Amino acid sequence: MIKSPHTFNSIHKATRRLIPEPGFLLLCIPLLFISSGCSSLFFPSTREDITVDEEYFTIKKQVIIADNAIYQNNRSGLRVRGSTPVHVTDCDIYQNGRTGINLEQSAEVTIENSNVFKNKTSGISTNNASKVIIRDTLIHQNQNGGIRIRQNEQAQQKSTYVSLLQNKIFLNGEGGVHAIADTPAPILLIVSGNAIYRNRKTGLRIEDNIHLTAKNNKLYSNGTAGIASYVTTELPPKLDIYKNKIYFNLGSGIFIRSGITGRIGLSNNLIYNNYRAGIALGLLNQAEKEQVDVEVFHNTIVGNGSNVEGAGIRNDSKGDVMIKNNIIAYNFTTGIMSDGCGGFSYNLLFANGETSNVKPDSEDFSYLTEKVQYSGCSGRQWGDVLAQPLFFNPDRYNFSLREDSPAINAADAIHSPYFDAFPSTDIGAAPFSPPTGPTQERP
Amino acid sequence: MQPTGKFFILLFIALFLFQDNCALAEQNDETGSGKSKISTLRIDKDNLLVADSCDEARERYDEGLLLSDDSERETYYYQRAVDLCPGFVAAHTRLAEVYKNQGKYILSIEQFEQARIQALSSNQFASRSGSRALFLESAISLGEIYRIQGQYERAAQEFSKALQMDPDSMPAQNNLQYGYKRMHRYDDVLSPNNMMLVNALFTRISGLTRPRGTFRFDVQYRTWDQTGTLTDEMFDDERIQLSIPPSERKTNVTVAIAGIRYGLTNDLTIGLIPKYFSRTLEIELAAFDVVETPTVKHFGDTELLFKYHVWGERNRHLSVYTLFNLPTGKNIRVLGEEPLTRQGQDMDGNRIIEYLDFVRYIPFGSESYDVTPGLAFTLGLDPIILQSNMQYRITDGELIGDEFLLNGAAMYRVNPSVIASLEMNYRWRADVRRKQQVITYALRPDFILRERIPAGAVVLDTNYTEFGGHTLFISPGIQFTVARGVMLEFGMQIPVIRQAEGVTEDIVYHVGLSVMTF
Repeated sequence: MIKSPHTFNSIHKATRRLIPEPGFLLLCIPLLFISSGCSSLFFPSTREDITVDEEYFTIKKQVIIADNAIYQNNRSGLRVRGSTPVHVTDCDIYQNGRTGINLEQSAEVTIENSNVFKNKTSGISTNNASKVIIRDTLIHQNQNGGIRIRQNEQAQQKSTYVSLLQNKIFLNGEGGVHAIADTPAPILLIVSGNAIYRNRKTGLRIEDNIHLTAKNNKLYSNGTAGIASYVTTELPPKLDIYKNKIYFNLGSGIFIRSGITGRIGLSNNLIYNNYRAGIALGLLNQAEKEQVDVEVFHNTIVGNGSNVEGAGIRNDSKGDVMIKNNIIAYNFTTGIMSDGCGGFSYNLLFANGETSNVKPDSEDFSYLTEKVQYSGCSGRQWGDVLAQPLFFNPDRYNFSLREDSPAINAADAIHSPYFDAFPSTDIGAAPFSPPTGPTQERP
Repeated sequence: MQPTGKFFILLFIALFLFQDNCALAEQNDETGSGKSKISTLRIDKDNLLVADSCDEARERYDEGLLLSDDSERETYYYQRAVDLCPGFVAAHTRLAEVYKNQGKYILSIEQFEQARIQALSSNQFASRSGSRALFLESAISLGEIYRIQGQYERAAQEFSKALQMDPDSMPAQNNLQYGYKRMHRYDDVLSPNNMMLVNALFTRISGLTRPRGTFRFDVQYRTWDQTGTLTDEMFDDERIQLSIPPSERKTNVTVAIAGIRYGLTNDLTIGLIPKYFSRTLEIELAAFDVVETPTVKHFGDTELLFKYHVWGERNRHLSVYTLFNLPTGKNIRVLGEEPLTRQGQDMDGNRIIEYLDFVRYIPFGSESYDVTPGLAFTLGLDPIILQSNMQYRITDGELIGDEFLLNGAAMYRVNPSVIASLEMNYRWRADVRRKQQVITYALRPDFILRERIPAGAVVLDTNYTEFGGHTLFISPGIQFTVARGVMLEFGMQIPVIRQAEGVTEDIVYHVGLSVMTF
């Protein structure tokens, strides 16, 4: 039901489509206030299912906004409130005075096959929305970031469910995706199959009570970290970050100032050529009270770092961190930099840091070379392999393993629901090909 | 004016504006404003065609940017843009980037070269700060292409170029190091940033031990002047007490220290540190109106170092050590080169020749096997490294007394090859008893008691107490990396608190050379 149409300047290519169910309206207007009407759907916890994906995030199509060009409005291009499901598809939303799409107060919205760009603030902003699915959409060149997801005290005990699927989020003035939930109820955020790149700041940034599942994404060439996790309240984010390809970011590949492992943790990611640490846990050289309890398993971390900072994995936290079965090679300053020199095993390290000229390509590592792998800590840990990983073609960023790689069959078994389902006997990330975002061409 | 002349003038203006428009389009792109300022330009109607072309090029470029998916379609837009406006540098650059991402490296290199050429040919562009960013980006991208192609040398050249333009360029630093590693040029990889391997000039024992099987050699040369008071209360023998006028003992000391350290195991370093002294004494002999300046050279004691790394993690390391003193230095008896003579008379008034051969004992060593236990700590806080140690030398109190040293050093890397350091070196020395021989001449009544000493030269063996005390030095220094693992060091110790009695040093000058093997 439409409460009141808001100001707007223009609608182009407006078309109407009726959804199959009778009695629902199809509306093509730039700004909507939609009253609440439907009760919330039940969504199982993402932590409890290792194959959590967009299937749990389906919204009935009750209001459809399709084939519109919504642009150059003084305020938001499209504003949705209330729980009446809204489906936005094939729209171009651009150059609006504020947010391209603004979703508020229990909004249930699906956005797909759209192009949201050059808006004055965020491309898409959600504030205490209920359920949001953004799929196959281009979100770019928005001045204050691509997607901003917020849940504050007004949300009370309701969680926000946000699913970002196969989008391209790029060239935004701030970060690509920024989610904040300073409430007891978490935001359940699924980020899957997106390409997030060339944003001015972090590709994907989360703060506080977020349950993040990020998989099969490509995050590259962002101005700071690829993925960053922070806390400002007492509830740190829960993290399941796996099968992502994170590279060429000017900050760390993954930076976790605070966070705890969800079901999977940080696993099977390919993290290379980021210009700070590959994975950074805690602030550099400043162990703080923030909770960092994460598991870092089966990642391939290659060639990260610069003079500023450059460990393959840096752990400056006081938390419970487990680092296992990772390939860590060619990183700038060191392989593993772990506070207390512990918490890691069964990793393959090679040519990290200033390795000097003592047979770095053989297994006969000198003491100094070995020490550099561990940032000054003495000796390798149980199950560690110090040898050339024998990537297929690291120069071309092809880090799949050759048959004679010492990483083959060198991993220690990890017993968790995820790794029981997807076991790997090899150190490093399992081969995968993340999707590249929407494939259809925009007009 | 002839029509032909007008035509050429108009043509010239058209070309000029053409270049302006394209350059401005690039500038707008770099600022990211997305708004073209071309409309504000004064465009002659005869040049409208050119301006329109660059306007259209700008539109194509924007369309490509909207895609940003490295697709053929994106390529088409940039290609169209550069066709319409060949001076459109940003379009060339972006086209090159897309070609690179598509794996079309030759085309990509061509476009980067075009971007450079067009940027250089545009005076406006060259004058802007953005030109530096363009060339930087171009160098990095070219380097990446060469890296992908396995041409590490060419890649390294491009990344080095980029670092010349911007030493803080993280992509250039990253890729250059990777290239060196792939070329097995680990000597180039090992940057001087590995500060944990650096020792301070005067706080020489660090918390780190040598890796097993590696050496460190160093040679130090130090020189200083020292002054010791000589007063009658220092002597045990009361005859001397009454006969010795207060005086100063000035000495110029030069010492060469050669150290060799070897990593016996990863946590145990042994070392041998011999010393060789040269002392030039300045002895004023009032009775003969001469100043003797004998120089004596001899080995000092040799120290045998055992250092064990007891704890360490990342940038914090603690070692305990012991210096065993091998008494290679002796208590050297110093004589004048020739006996001093003068004309005199005996008690009966007969003319005689008085002569005197002065004797000093200079301790070049303790002549005992002393032990010096110590503790050393190193903390790396890049770019600063802190190093400290303390040690106590236990002696028999003869010749050389007990000594406590507490050293602290802060080293700061000024640039990749220069390290500045500032140290505080505290020293406490115990009093020590030394033997002394005094030869006097009986005919000088003011020297000795007449009734107890026969005529002629008299030799008295006695002892005196060399007083100890507290000394604090401030020690600035600088170290230069002249080659990998080779450091040249200069510094000085400036005494800011001197001991009240005994021997006190002036400024100590230090030159050193250290060589590390890996």
